[in-house]
Amino acid sequence: MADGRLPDQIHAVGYRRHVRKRRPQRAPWPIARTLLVLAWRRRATKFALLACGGAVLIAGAALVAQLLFRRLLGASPIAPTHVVGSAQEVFAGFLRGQFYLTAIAIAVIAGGCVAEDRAAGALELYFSRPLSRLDYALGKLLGAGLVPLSTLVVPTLLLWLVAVGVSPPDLGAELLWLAVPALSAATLGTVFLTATLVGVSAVGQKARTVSVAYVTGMILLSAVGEGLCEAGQRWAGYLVPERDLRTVVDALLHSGMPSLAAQLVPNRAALPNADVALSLVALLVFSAGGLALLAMRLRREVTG
Amino acid sequence: MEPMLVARGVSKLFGQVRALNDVDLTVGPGVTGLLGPNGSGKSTLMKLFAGQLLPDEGEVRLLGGDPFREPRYLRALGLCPEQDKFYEELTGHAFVFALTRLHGFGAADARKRTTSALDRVGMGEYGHKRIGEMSRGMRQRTKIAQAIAHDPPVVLLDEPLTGADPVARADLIDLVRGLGAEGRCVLVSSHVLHEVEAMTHQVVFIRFGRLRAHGDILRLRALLTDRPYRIHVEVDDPRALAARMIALPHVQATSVVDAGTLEVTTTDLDAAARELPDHAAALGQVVRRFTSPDADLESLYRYLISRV
Repeated sequence: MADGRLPDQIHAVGYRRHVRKRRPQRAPWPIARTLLVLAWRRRATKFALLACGGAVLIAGAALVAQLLFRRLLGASPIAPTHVVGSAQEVFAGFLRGQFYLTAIAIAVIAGGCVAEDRAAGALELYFSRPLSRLDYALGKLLGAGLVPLSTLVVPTLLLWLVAVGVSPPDLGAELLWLAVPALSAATLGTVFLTATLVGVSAVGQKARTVSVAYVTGMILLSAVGEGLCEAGQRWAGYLVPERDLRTVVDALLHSGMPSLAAQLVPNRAALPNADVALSLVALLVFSAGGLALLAMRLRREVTG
Repeated sequence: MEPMLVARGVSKLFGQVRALNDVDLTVGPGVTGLLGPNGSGKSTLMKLFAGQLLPDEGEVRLLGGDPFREPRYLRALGLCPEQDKFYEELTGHAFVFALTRLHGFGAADARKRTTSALDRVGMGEYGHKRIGEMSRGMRQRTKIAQAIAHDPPVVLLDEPLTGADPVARADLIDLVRGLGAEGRCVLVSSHVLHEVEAMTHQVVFIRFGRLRAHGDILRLRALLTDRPYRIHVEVDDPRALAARMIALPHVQATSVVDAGTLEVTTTDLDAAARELPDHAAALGQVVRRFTSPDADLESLYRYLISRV
């Protein structure tokens, strides 16, 4: 190459595929997916989802009917809310009923999320994979959390969108603000239900036992709490998760449009801040308790 | 070559019970049988290698890393546990797919690997079957499929042949040998000694949580110099052959079992095997059969577990 020209030589023909380094997928989603695939194979799951879906349809139909009725008779001397109630009441009733339905649904669908893994020895298989306890816990929380997300949060959002879409112009602004308390309630409910259910599942052995214990516990807690509260023991009110949720939602409503608050919680005075804070703390303590049970169980199972 | 599994001075306690006691072990490529009676610590050792337990003393290494503290090393591990009642509602394919994805594979890659692993264990056409409807042998194969789907260099198999029918057992033995022949480190725990012998000659004996022996079956047997071998020889005239054999320095005793069988007790099996045909030929006899009930794995196992 004294003249600087390249020699005529074929070095290679064709091309080599560029091998990209595989980026590991995050573990929580496959764990959550397995939980949901397993649940979907049970008939009870379909019944539970059907019940939740039915409640959404009923609430949606009521909401649309009310808003259309109000839109049509908006100028009429008859006050429509006295005839068919208000949209806000539908939301409040829906959230309350759906919270309990979702508690049943999550218990049926994800009751065995950790219990079954323990009973079947699947933890041994999971932790022979490159998984940390946190990955596993996140996977289970994600899988279980998708249930209230789809039966509580998403329907609330859909109902709100429908309400805003068909509402008469004079109600539009109030309904827009309703998204904050309604979605907050749904989200808080989702966190509470997911964390407590997974915690109970972590200490149980059988999916069915966990489901029954969870629903029974929820009902008993509510009944006892409400009963004691009515008997004058105010502290017992904080033991009722759904009541705590309502308290927080009421506070959010009060911080927003006053006219709406008055419609949604007509019989309740403005809540003292301490009550709201304690309700929120009660919900968070319940949720943290569930997570602590899960963490303790995993620590025990995995380290031997 | 770097050992793939290492246990250095490993002890594990469960409350007051010492499940493993100061175990030093290295396991390299190929198939190694892990043997010991129930409660000897086999499963504990497997769990330590699989990163599911933390040793109370000593250290465990999987390809040089700590499998408990550094879960990323578990990408190199395939575990087939003894337990076989996993998610009954899932199909075999869905089960293997779900577990393969936990190694970080995308859905398409994991699906391909699942199909390939199920084919390899002979479950390709039963992948759609629910685990709850599978026979025990099919479950075993599905479990092995999930252990090898991600192509790990280290495979731990805890009682992999339990419940399999004779044909499936033969297939699984071939599969395990094949995994070893590919250069993987395969540690197989089993109680069925002749099946372990069919898979490998490399064994590890554990009893009361202690390592009793580790190595090639025949070489281990040869080390037991205080325990002579018995040889059964079928010839026409066992008495005449007995008279010649007793003169050999390594022969301790001879006895005529029946009209056509001689039992020779020797301290050197190789020498006896070498010299016996010559002595028989010198007497004009033909050795029709030559067996040693003390040279197999079962005899070694019995001997090792009988000594406390």
